[in-house]
Amino acid sequence: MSDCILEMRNFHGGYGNKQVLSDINFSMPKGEIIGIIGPNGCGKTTLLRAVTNIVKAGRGRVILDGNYLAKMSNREMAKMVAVVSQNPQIANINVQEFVLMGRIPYFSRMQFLESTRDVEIALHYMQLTDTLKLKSKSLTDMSGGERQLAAIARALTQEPKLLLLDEPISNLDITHQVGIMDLLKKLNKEYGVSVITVLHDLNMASEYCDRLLLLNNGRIHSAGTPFTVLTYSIIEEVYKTVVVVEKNPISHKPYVLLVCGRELKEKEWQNH
Amino acid sequence: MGLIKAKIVFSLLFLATALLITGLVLAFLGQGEGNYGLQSKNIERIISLGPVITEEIYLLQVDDKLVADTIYCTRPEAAKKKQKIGTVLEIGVEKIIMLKPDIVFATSLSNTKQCAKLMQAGIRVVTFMQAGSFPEICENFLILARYLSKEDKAQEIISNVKKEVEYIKKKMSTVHKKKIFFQIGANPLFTVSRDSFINDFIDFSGGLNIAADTTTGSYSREQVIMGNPDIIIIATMGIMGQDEKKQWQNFQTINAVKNNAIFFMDSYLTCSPTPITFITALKEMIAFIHPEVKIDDSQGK
Amino acid sequence: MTAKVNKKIIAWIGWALLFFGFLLCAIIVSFCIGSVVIPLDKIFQIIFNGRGTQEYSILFNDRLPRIILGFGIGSALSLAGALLQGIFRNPLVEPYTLGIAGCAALGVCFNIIFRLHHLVGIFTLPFSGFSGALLAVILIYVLSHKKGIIKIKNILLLGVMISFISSSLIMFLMSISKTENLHGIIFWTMGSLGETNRILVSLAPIAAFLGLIVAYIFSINLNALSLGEEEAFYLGISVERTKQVLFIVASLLTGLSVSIAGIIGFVGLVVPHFVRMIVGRDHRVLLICSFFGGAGFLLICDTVARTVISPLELPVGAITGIIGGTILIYVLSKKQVVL
Repeated sequence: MSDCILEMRNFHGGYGNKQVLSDINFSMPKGEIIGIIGPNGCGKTTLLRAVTNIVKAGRGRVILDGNYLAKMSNREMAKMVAVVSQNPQIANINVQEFVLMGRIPYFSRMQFLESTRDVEIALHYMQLTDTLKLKSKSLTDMSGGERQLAAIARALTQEPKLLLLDEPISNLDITHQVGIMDLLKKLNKEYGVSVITVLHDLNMASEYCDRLLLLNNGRIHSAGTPFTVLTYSIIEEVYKTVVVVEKNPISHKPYVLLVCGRELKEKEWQNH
Repeated sequence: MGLIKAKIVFSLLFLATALLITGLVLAFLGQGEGNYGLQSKNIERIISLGPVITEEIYLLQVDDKLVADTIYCTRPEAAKKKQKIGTVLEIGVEKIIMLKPDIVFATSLSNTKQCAKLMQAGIRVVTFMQAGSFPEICENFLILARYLSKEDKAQEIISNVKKEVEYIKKKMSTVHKKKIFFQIGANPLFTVSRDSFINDFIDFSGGLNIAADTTTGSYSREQVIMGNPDIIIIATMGIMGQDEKKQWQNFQTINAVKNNAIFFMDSYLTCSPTPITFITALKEMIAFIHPEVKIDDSQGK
Repeated sequence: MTAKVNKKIIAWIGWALLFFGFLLCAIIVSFCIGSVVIPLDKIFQIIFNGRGTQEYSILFNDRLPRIILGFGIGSALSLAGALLQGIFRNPLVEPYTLGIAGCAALGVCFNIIFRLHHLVGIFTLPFSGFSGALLAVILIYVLSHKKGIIKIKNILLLGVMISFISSSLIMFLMSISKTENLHGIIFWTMGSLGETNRILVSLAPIAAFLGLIVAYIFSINLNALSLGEEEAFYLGISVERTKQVLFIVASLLTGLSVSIAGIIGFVGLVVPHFVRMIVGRDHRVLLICSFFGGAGFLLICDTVARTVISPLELPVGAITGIIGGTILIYVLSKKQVVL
């Protein structure tokens, strides 16, 4: 048991012969929300997969709560880490059954039926994610946002110490976007769940994350608080597009403003 | 209903399934070999699984004891009226058991598993191998007769037939041998090898089987063209026979086609002969091959 | 709260009992009906007092082994189908569409033609069936893991091709074989529950039951797998091991069935489908209901096959196809089914 929930030391890894991630070094103290950001194809999803041992280390180590990931069984890992995928397969299953599956890592060897406690836990998290009212609905009949909440409920039912989310809000309307991020914040602050989430939206990342990891070409380009990472020079260097960074008037966190290329040219021309 | 109860019910269900299987299997394995009845008692009820056997039973005049036969047992006419228990290849096991036969005569084509079931049920089953030559035809006939206590009658028939066959053989031995192709199947083309009694037909009637050396009976039209038979005989299988004749007529280089010497013979007659029908078929063949030779019917009687 | 769970479990138990009841009825029907109809009350009389009578013979020498075989093979094929559908998450999958049964048939064919079973004994027949099945499974497994051929739709295509190739090879073997062998092969490809060897007959239901137990141990894994392999992995399931074990079980069951009873299609496809539509996709109830359902279904088809044109017997594979196909088409047209 250490202070760090996750540590990656000198991690290199990828798919088959193709090495995607190189030189990944960071440690995450318990109780943080970390956002992983970066351009398309820079290895964000791969990094998440590395934490769950789907992508194995070619070189280097992953340490979860003081234990080497490589030495953990799949089940032990599942009790510690839960994943909310980007586009989960839509199965014809009702929400309660779906969420209950989160208890699978805790089933004993010959256990086939969920215990009453399992059911209680599932219902509790369904209530937390406001999906209790949907419990008999099939996943196929739900909106993207509702499905995402159900997936989060299922991940929480695993009672993990670390929650991984891969672009949880990319396809949702702003109501659901804020709703889900607020939920993550609440889980983090009130329940002590450590969270790592991949985000496309730099501003959401800035608002909600304690720290950010900016990836580029499979390497960590910058790491630190939103203030240190979200500067216009860093962003322009990595994303190769001009931005203006202001302050969010309510939270005072960095706020990235995108600039229309045409407008920029006109302004430059005007200034000459 | 508590979780424990649910687990118990499920386990019980598994247990019940296991018991059911065990029960059925034990009941099955617990069957000893059926009693074969009393071995030496008289045979009063016979079932035949093959047309040749049926015909031979009529020859031996024990047809009153014939209880059932196959739907292909159509000779003599009376055989059609017997109860039917299936085809040559597949029989109705239950029906046979219900008919309480004392003995069942099977052929090499009979379904072995079904015969095994009959034996397990305690029914006596005797299987006759396919005869490969005229002597074997007589041999089978004799064996059948022994079971039916009609050995004397059989010997009588056989010796008459043998005399006639000898006479014919002698007569045809001096005749110039003609090349024969005997076709018993189409698509694929099938003929008879040396190991068939049909070869005996050809041999005894002054002919030469061009396909005598074939191993599987499968033959190609090209091989026939090369062999250039003087006579082609087709064992009819309905309209297919007529089609085959037309096919052959395309190949004008074959002697048989040139001389219009393509004949049909009843496949029943040629493929399922008793000693007596053997002679009939033989005479018919001679009429095709060597019409100039007159066979005296009174000889050998 | 807990009432909801109990409802689910009660429903499951209800379904399981229902299908078990169906199986029992099918067994009773198979006992009573044939070219001779023996009414139920008479049956008890015969069992206890009837040794030596015709009816006794019919019941114990003819119908009992058929029932044991029908039970064993129907349940085995149905279970194999359910397992394969669970692994592949595809409802079109069954031992035949994956070519497993075709290869098993090829193995047995090979054995018959080259008379191996005369050399080494009767068990080479099921063994060659199983080897053929395993060969197909290995082929599919290996080819599906090669780069570029990972998609499940391709596996299906692969399976169909293997099936076709096997049939063609069987036809080829048939054309070069001697006539005596030909009969053996043809009988056997038509599918029949007429096997007489005591050991083989007894083996069928025992193997099927063992298969059920093993499959049950992985029932939770199959549930997780239905969400996708990656998701199942995140739930702590050893995905590869699950697939391997269940593949082997399915091919064992198929190989055994094909080698004892010949080619009987549709059971592995129709029964799990039908059962899934009724009881749902949770494998904890699906497996056991498919097991009972498949056994009952095959028994009924066999009863039809040997009674309809008695004393002749239709190949049971034809009946499973006709009845199974018709039922499936009817149900699919009535219900909007999402698998």
